[in-house]
Amino acid sequence: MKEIPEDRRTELILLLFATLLIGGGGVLVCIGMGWPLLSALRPLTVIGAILAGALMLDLADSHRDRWLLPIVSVIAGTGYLLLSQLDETSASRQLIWILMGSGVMVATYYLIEDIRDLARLKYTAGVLGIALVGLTLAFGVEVGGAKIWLEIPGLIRFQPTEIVKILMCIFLAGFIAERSELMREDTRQVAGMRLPRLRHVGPLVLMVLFSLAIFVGQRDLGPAVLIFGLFVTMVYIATGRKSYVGLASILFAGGGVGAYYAFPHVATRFDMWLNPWTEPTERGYQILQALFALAEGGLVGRGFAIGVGSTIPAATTDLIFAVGAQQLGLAGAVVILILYALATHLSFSIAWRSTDSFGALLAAGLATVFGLQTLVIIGGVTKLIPLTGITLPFMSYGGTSMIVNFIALGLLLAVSRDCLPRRRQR
Amino acid sequence: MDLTIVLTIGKYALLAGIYAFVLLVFRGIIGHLVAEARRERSEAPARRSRRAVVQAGPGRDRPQPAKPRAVSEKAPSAPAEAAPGASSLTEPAARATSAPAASLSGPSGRPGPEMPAPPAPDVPVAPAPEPDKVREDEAERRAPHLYVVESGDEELTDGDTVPLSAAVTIGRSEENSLCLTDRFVSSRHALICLRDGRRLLLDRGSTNGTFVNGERVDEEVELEDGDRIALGNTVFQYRAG
Repeated sequence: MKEIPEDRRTELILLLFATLLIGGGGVLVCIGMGWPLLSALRPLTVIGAILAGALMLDLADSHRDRWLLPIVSVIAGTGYLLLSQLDETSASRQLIWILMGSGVMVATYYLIEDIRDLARLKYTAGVLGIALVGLTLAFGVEVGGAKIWLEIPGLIRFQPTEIVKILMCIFLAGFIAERSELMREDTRQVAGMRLPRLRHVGPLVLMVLFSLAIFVGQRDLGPAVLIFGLFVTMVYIATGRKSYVGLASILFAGGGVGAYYAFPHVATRFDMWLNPWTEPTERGYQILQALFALAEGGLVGRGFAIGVGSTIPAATTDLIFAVGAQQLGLAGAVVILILYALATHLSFSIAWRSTDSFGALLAAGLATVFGLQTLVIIGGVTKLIPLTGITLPFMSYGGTSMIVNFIALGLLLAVSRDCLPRRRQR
Repeated sequence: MDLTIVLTIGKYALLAGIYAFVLLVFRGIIGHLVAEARRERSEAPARRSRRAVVQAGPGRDRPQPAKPRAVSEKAPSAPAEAAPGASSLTEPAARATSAPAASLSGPSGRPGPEMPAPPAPDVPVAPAPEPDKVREDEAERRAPHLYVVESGDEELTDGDTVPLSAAVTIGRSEENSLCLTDRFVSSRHALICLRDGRRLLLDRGSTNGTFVNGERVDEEVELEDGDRIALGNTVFQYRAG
């Protein structure tokens, strides 16, 4: 048998470790919920899907990042364990999404022969992204108050905003990679600040403003915050000018104040963040239930199957972190945060080491989306910032979100395959 | 045994397991970083040739990997980054093979060390010498470039050419796409860029100024073929191609 290279072995060991962890967790859930022990095979399928994906990725070329997949498998496995206790139908669907997602990840990895070719599709991606949100605005299906679903009757129903995240990453990376030096150096003094000339950033600003406007029109502010944060971060990474971040913060603060007065549901979120006790059973219900769950979890949590968060609204999607904290306590919540931080760090490290500017910016963009999304929703659940409806990557229930996150993972791995310096084999 | 006890013990075991997993990943990543840093240090001598963005002028043989197109991106761009990796491990070999190659190329002045170090199958950069390589170089000479009239830099020599991309930053600091060792050049000195098809030179607030045809550039100036650009002790001539 051929000897397995060291980095590949590490990944396999970590994935097997993850199998052990999630398998053990699955057995615990089964015992607690009184299910037959065979049901513990279902969380194992989650890890199995990712393990199979990892093996398939190695069929052609074994040069790629080795840490992301094990971390994601633990995150997704834990998410499935929590979800399976909350809602069985959602759980079995989620299982299918994860299986599909792993397949889509492998497909993305192989379909893109060289990630740098993707730079040529930047305008396609940008226009497609805007078309998708536009279509949603026009023909979207309303589910639970928000018009964020797009339906092809009898075929599929999906959330375009999730896909737009990735399309925007590709567009911004391609656009900025081409002219980061111009944006940095060909500047003009405006009111004491060095701003790039409009001709270098015009299309960029236009595209972002347009998508922001559509999101605001949809009254779906989570993605708007995400896209704005992505835009600012990418421009900062490319130019290294802090003045942009300052300017963006001012704009963001202004936009926030404007949204507070323009949209009642933004005002609700903000008021309930300041003091949920004014209306504990109505507008403040969601955040208070999340806080109760955190409090109930205490230091080490109630344990699986004991404290099932049935009273938490949107427990399977936005507030799944609260369920995790309820069952595994502060210790569990912290370790989940560490896993997310590690995944974000590893994605940024791919960007950092990348030898190609497009690859670097794409990886940085995907890392930003991942990190920002985690930050916004966990910050919201723990009442650090106003709660915004957004999914927790790889943990929340949701088909589009899961598959899109796996596509992003496939893209990141493709960047690590194509843009990282290779070591010579001995 | 009581169900709750099993679940509680299981919960602690699971938590401990996840923490152990995180610890393993941390250890792995840190080990990786340490190995990388060690490798970097052993490659440090080779790093000097990293800013090789210029093409050797005629009649000059220089045993140094010169990557002409590297100027289009910032320092850690694909060819420039991977080039030391390729050359460092086989540094003596590269020297040995490149020196005769360079002197052979003699008057034609092709940068000889374009040749990859022989045993490097896995390194994607250093392209194998193709038959149309010469034609490509010829095309590059016709493309817009800076011709070095007088050099205050250690590695640039009179007669070298620097190809121009859409934006080239010039200065003493490493982050520039054309980095000069000239001590009269500011760390962020000038930018040459394309705007609406015009080639502009912008002074980035340099201490000693940038001069085009003897006149100090106030903020920006449009370059024309044959203009002489002086910064520090270095004089370039702009050639539109």
